[in-house]
Amino acid sequence: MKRLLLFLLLAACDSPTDGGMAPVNVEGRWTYQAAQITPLLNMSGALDIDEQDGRSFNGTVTFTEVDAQGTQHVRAGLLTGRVLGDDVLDIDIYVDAQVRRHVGRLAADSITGTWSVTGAGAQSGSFTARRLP
Amino acid sequence: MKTWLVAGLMMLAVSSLQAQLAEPEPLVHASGEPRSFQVVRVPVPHELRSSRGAGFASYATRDFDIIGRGMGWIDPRSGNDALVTVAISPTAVAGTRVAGRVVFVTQEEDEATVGIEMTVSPVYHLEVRSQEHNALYVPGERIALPYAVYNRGNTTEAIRVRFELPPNWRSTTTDTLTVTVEPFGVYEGVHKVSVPRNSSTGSFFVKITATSAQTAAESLITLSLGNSYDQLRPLGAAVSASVGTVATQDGRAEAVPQVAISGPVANDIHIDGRVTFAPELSAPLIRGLAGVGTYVTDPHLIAWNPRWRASFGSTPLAMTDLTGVNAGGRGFAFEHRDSAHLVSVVGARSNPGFGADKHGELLGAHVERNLSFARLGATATHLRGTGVQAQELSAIAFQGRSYPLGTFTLSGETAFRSFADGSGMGWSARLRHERKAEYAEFHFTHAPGGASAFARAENEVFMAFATTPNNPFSLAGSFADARDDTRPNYEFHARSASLSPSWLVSDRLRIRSDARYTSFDVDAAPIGYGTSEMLITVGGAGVYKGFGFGMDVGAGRLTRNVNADDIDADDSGQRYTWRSSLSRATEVGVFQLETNYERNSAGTGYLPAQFTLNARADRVQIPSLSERLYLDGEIALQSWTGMPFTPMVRAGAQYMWRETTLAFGVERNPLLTGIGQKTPWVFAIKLEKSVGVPRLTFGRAHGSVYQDLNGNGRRDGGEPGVENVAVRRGGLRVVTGADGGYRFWEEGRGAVTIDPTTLPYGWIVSSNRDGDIGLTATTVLRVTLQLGAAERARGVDISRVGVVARDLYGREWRARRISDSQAVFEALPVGRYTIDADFTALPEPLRVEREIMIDVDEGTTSEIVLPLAGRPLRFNQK
Repeated sequence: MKRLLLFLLLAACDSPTDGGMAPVNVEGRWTYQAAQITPLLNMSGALDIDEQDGRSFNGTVTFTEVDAQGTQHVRAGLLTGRVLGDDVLDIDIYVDAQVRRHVGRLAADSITGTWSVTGAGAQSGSFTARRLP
Repeated sequence: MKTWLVAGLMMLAVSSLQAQLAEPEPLVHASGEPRSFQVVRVPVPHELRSSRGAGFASYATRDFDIIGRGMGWIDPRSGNDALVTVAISPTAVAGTRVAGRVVFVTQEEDEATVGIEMTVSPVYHLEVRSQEHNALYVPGERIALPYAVYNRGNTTEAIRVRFELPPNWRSTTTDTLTVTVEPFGVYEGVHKVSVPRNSSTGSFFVKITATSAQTAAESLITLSLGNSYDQLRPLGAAVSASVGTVATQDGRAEAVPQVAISGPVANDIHIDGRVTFAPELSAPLIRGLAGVGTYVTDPHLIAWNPRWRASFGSTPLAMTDLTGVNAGGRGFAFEHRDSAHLVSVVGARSNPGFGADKHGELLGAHVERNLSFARLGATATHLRGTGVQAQELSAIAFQGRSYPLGTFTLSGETAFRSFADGSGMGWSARLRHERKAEYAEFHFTHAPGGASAFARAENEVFMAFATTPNNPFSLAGSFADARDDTRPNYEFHARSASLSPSWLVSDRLRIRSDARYTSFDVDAAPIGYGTSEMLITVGGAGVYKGFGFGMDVGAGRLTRNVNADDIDADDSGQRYTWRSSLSRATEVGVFQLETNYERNSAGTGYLPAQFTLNARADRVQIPSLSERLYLDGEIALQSWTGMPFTPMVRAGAQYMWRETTLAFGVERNPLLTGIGQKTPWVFAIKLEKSVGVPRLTFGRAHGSVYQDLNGNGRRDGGEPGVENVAVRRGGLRVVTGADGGYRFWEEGRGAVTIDPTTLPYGWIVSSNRDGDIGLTATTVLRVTLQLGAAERARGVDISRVGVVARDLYGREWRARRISDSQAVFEALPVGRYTIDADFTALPEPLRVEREIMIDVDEGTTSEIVLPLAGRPLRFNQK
């Protein structure tokens, strides 16, 4: 019975979503670039991950959004996220009452992935983030 | 026997009428109002009362009618009377008169008639009507107000008509007049008023009161007054130049000049353009500038009129579902449409996307033809975007749209689409029903290449409906499914459905509900993830004592998952929301308070708890400060679980005088720089000056109204213009300026005419040559007809002699006879005339003894004597 409990405990610690020790540290400032394919939007700014607790982290995001006509808007909000497995990041960015979900893979000092929005039709695109020294 | 008697009575009734009129007849009296029925008892005449039997028949005179058979058989000896029902017509004039007669014929063939004398009661009813005057007038203008006084009563009325004008307005015709109007008659008149030159502008009322001895009525005419002729003249575009300067506490400061133009520039051509000279700005600086109304955007200039539209610079591109949507770049676009055709072309280069330093090209052309049964179109495009989200499409498509039933529109499109990874045939269909605020729509699109080839998605289904929101109960719903396997490096599938009933409890309260499901799945191999959300909200919104309020509470369930090589994470949990708002718009500003609270289960992707309180004020005017000063401000308090409290503060002021605006803004927003970082205050100032530019004109009707002093139909030097004359063309109306000139700024149809009621008194239109309208003064000419002595002695009647005046062009003017020997020309244009007489109505031959030629000058009243004589008699000897 004790062996079984020990096995379950170890298995739980291996869960990719628990709050245990993270395999990577994502704290710090990251450049952020994202693109939406339709309607065309280019976004560039910064992610500030201020706090990481195990696999969970949070911070703020600020970026400038440029549409096809060159009009620039500034978006700013919060971000929360988690580290899944060894290198997959699941990040939620809260801007203008939207949750833009970003899922990407961390390689060296950059994250590359896609993002999408629930409840807003087919809004989605790709993104990259690079850690600033 | 009775039969022959009754039949004969009818003939007797008519044949005896004339005889009865000549002799006094016995009468019975009755009285009643118009529209009433009176039963009249008619006794058998005394001389027939000994008869053993008598028939009677009745008939009515004008304005009366006999109801029922109106005839019968009675025994005079029994003392019975004949009963007749008389109807009084609605148009019976008040007074006492014979309404009908009853003829009695006995068996012995004796005959007698009794008249029915009816007193019709008087009815008094007046009504005043006038035309609505919504046209704009200007101070100094003379206005003619047509009106009509109806006597709806049945008695002749002496009616006093009185006009009450706004202060300082003056009647050029008498303010009070008395007219006599017959029963059911009408008096039509024109009252002329002069608006003072120094009058204020706005809406004014002229009251017309009609009063008789018994009753009264009134009517109100509304007149709108504009400031001046110049104000009626449409303004041109406004050009505004501004410099926005923004700085942060950390020392960064930038100035952003901007020039914008907006408004009509020529006739019905409008333009809108903006150029901003912006350096590379950081996000706080951009946001600070936005606070004072400076937006950083690519330069653009758009010009349009009702038939065409052209854009230069920043150019959006939206052809059709299958030939390119949601694109844009820098270039030009042009569209021309009329009732039968539509042609559009676009040529631009796309802005480079991330990861690219080269532009793509955006080329497209579209034509449409409106046929009687459908609208058909064809489109060709070649589009290329660059960067990480590169798109590419070459397409040729055909479209059709028809209206199979009144409120339904059926449209379809098919296209050959060629894109980076292949090609294919695409199609789309759309059925839409629309009636007032109700609509329903079904839309399906298959676009090979999907979003990577300038479509919204590769496959898309959309359905929606909404009932009339003004009904007490209304319902709206939608369903959408978009699938796209073509996006760069990932496949995407999104779904949503909603149902939103609402109930309008009263004019001030609506209860609403919303059930909504949304989800997406992304497959970006080797990572796949998705989110789905089901949320039901219930709430309401309304207005109470000037406050607008709204509140919604919601509950739902969230699910999210991530799948990768070594990851299989599925989470779900509850979600609760609460939102409320309270707002008040007053004359000193608009105030709003919003609160939001959310609570979400862990792992759902939302913050566990979130609370925001937002207080906002816009366009606030402090009564003790200048009315040109507007203030606005916002405080947002935000609290999230596990994160520091972050207040956001924003304030602004705007001062406007003449065409100059000075705006100031300051903002402190921790989210812009990161929580825990030093949060800068961002200051921005903008100075903007706007200038109205003159409106160019060409190709529209214009001309002048002038005094044609020499009557040659052309405007010569020294012939002054006439101001404040209303000139019309179709439904358009302009007023002449100080020089008599006018110009129609919009296109109108029909000939240019003037409103004669706005002409100066005594002037009439004498010529209209290509919009130049000549006026000629008129004058009064009295003509006294003078008979020779011989004809006077014989008493020749000349009351029917016509008097005419012929001008140099042979045009004939006719005088009004005012007495047996006098006639008057009340408005004879200035010029030279030959005065002649028309004897055609006379039995006796007369002639003008001496032809008279007269020069009629402006403003003078002339009197002449026209001598008449008998024609010499000639006898032929045979």
